[in-house]
Parts: sequence; structure tokens; C-alpha cells
Amino acid sequence: MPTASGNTFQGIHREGGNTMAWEELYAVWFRKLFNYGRKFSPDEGLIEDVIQDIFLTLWQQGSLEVRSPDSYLFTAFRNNLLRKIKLDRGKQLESLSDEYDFHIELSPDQLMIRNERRNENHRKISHALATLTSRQREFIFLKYYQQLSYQEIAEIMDISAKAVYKLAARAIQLLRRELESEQCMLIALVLCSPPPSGNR
Amino acid sequence: METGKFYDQYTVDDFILDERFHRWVMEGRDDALWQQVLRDYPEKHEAIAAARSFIRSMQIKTHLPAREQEQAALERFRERALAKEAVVMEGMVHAAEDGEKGDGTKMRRLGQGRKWLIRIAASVAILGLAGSTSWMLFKKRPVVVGTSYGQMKQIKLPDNSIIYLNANSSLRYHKSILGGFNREVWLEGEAFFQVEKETDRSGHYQNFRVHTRGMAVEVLGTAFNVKDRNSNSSVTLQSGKVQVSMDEGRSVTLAPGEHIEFNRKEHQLTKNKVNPERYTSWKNLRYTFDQTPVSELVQIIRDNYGLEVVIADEKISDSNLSGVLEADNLQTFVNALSFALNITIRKEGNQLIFEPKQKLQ
Repeated sequence: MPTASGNTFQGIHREGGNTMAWEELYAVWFRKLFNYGRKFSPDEGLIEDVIQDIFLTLWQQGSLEVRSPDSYLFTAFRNNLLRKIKLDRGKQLESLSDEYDFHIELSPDQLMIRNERRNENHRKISHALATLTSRQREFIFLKYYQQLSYQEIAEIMDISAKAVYKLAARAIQLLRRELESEQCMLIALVLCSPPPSGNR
Repeated sequence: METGKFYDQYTVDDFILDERFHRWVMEGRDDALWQQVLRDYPEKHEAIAAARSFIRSMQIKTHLPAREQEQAALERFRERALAKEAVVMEGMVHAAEDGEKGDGTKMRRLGQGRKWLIRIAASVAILGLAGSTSWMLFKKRPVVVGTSYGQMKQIKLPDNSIIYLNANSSLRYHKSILGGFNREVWLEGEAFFQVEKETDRSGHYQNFRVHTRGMAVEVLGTAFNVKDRNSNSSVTLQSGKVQVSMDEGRSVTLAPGEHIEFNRKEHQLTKNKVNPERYTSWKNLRYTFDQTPVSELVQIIRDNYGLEVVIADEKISDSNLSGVLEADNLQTFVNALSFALNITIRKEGNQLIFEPKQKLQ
């Protein structure tokens, strides 16, 4: 699987015009960072520019040897994108209070499950997501979509691991409050579903 | 097995926040440990089930680039990386020549053959680049211009047409480095077009085409607004003449002041006479309303600012609004809106809450 794991490019150097490996790397990360960037802004041209600048810098350096390439790329991308959005915004209309925007929606695939209760659940979480702050939503994305650890999220969002945990606790509390009333029914449902199948 | 944690004191939230628990639910890791916890703490079954269901329900929507967009991005990266490579190679040739003139020993150590090899390699790279450059100059590649929530952009196209792109919208077209442009654009969201008339070499007028999901607008030179949000597309003509063709086959010609709405899902087409100002004034940073129901305001706020509106009192949903509101930023718009509707508007997270005004004590 050429996705998340750092091993994919721990050892990539620019030797004898080995562009293939770089192109592969670029293709994989283009999708990943594009998806992350779309949560900050619908401006796809801007997102592409930022991704390309990062990769050209890496390409010029000739190698990428960092402890955790995942958090390195997410961090570099996030910093550059937020800087550009801010620059853009200085000249344009501005939004209220929040330092930055971060929008997530639940995947519509879930709606395909023909289950009233689940749909209700989906609707409630969607509604609750809208009440979170951008930072809380970004945490939800990095944790539940990218499956990153608290430590990695702390590096990316540039806060302490403790602060991430606090952010998480608050977000989960808010989301769950929205679901509380349905809880009893949900439990009955989930207990009947099979346990997760381990993949090892 | 020693579980080593005080799971008996865990609440649902604690389970959700536990990284190992999360990994177990998502990837099935540490299955033995969690099976043990299930056996040791039967009273926690409910909490564990609730935590598991919560984690699993958090499936977030993916935004992937279009295939064409991805391919173009890769091509651009390849070209720029190649250009950088050629500069490096050229530098190497100069370094080799400098070395020959100055300190000859350095070059000799490299060896005559090696030096020529570098030169040849560099020439090939530079020639290759020159070859691909001329091709690069003519090749039309996609350009995407987008706006964030609450943002507006003005774009000048190679044919001098001017486009105002409203918030949360994107415009795509193809353009070569030399400015080759075939007057065809793809829109998602909303934009106002001021299209210049253009003739080809033989003096024939060239059409300008705007595609949205579900229809295409074709013009010679004119000013009009196109909006494509959710499953609705609409076109409002300010001046000139346009022809709108639905993908399903129907087509309509609009005269100035005419407005059509097309619903892709229900295949419903309506056409009426309007005051174009109402649909186009946003480009001058103001909204024009005319008996506009609150539900439509809610939709505008969602589309342009990415915010959800919560209406705390039914009476508010029944009201409607007429007038011109300044909207150079969200704050001014919200202020004007609360004044016009005589309500209080509060922002909470990603929501705007519309409430009746509190009576003064």
C-alpha cells in the first residue's frame, strides 16, 4: 500500500534522474494534501500551487530525510496554505472571529445504509459538527480521517500533545451531547453487530 | 492477561479518546487486550459499544481532485522539476570550464572523458528542454481559479472578458502560455460574466461558452450572471443575448432582464422577467432583495459563507426582506441583516443564530 506509511519515501534521493519515484510520491501526496486543503478552502488552484511549491523545494534539496515524513508534509502544507489564505484574505472579504476556516461533512456513503436510526444519527452528528470550532473540526479530521496519533496531530497543529487531548475531549463531549438522547437505542443496535475483524 | 489500566473507571468518552481503543475499532489492533477487557468488565459493555459506534460513525467526506486535474498537476510538476534539473546541469558545464581555465588539476582528476560526458548529458538535457519548451508554449493546460467562503475574485481572461467569481465557487478553463484560449469555461458556484466580442481570423464572431453541471450558456458578447448551486442552475441576462442549452436537449434564448432556473433533478425549467440587479449586485459587494424570503437568505449564507443558520423563532422564518444590503464582509452583512429583520444574530462555531430581539429592561 503506497499510502500513509513513512517507509515509502524515507529513502528517496535524487539519483541519476530517478524521477519515477518522485512522481509516484507526488501523485500519492497530491491527493492526500488536496483533500486536506479542500477543508480549509474551496480554492483548488491555490491548493495545487502550495503542494507543488513544497515538492519542488524537496526535489531541489534532493532528498527527504525526516523522522516522520507524514507529519512533515502535513505541517509544511498546512503552514504554507494558511499563510497564503491569510494573504489573500487581507485584500478580500473577511470572515468573523475564527482564525481560519475548516469545513468537514460526514461522508454521504453512510446514508446508503437503509436504517432510520443510523440516518438520524448521521443527521445529528452533522448538525453537531457545525457547532464545533475550526480547530476542533480539524482535530476530528486528522484523527478520524487520517488516523493520526495525538503526538502527530500536535506537531501538525503546532500545539502541545496535552492541548490536543483537551481539544479532543471537548469536541467529543460536544458531539456526544447531541447524540445522547438516542444512546439507548444505539447500544441495542451495536451489540448485535459483529466485532471488528482484525487484519493480521 | 494484565490489562494494566483502570478500565472500570472509564466513561464512554474515555474509551473514545483512548488511542489504543481507537486503533482496535478502526484497524483491529490489540484484539486480545480488548477481548480481555470485555471479559473482565462486563458492566462496561454498554460504554464500549457506544464508544465503538461513535468512532465508526465519524466517516468524513473525501474531496478528491478530478482525474484531469490530477494529471495536469503531475505534468506541471514534471516540467518544473525538469527545468530545475537543466539549470543544475548547465551550472555543472560552467563549473567544468572554469576548472579548466583556473586550476587544471581538478579537471584532470575528473578525466577528459568524464568531462565530455557531462557536456553531452547537459546538452541533451538543454536541447530536450528547448524542444519541450516550444511544445509547452502552445499546449493548452487547465487553469483553476477558486474562491474561499466569504471571498470574491475578479478574473481577466486572455480574450479580455472579465469574470467576477463569487464566494465558494470555482472556474476552470484551458489556456496556453502564449495566451491561446478557446473561449470555453466550466463553472461551479456563481459568477458574473462580462464577455468581450471576439472575431476569428476570417472575421466571424466567436462564441463564448459557460458550462455548468447540467447546462451550457452560449454568447457572443454580453453581460450575464450564472449560478450553479446544489441541483439548481440559473442564468440572468443583463444585456445582449444568450442561448442556454440543457444537457438533456431543451434550449432557450434569453433577452435582457430575463432569468431562467433549471432544476437538474426534477428537470424543471422556469423563465421569468426580473430586475437583473437583484441577481448581479453581489459583484459590487451588495445584495439586492425584493420580497426575498428568509429561507433564501439562509441558502445564500450557506453557499457564500459556509455557515449554517439556526432560526430560534418561527416568526422569523415567515418574514421576508426588501432592500439593498452592504456586504463587503460578513460582519457588515450580518449587521445590516439584523437591522433589516429587527432580530439579534449571534455566531456560534459554524452557525449563525437568528433570535428575536431581547426587550430592553
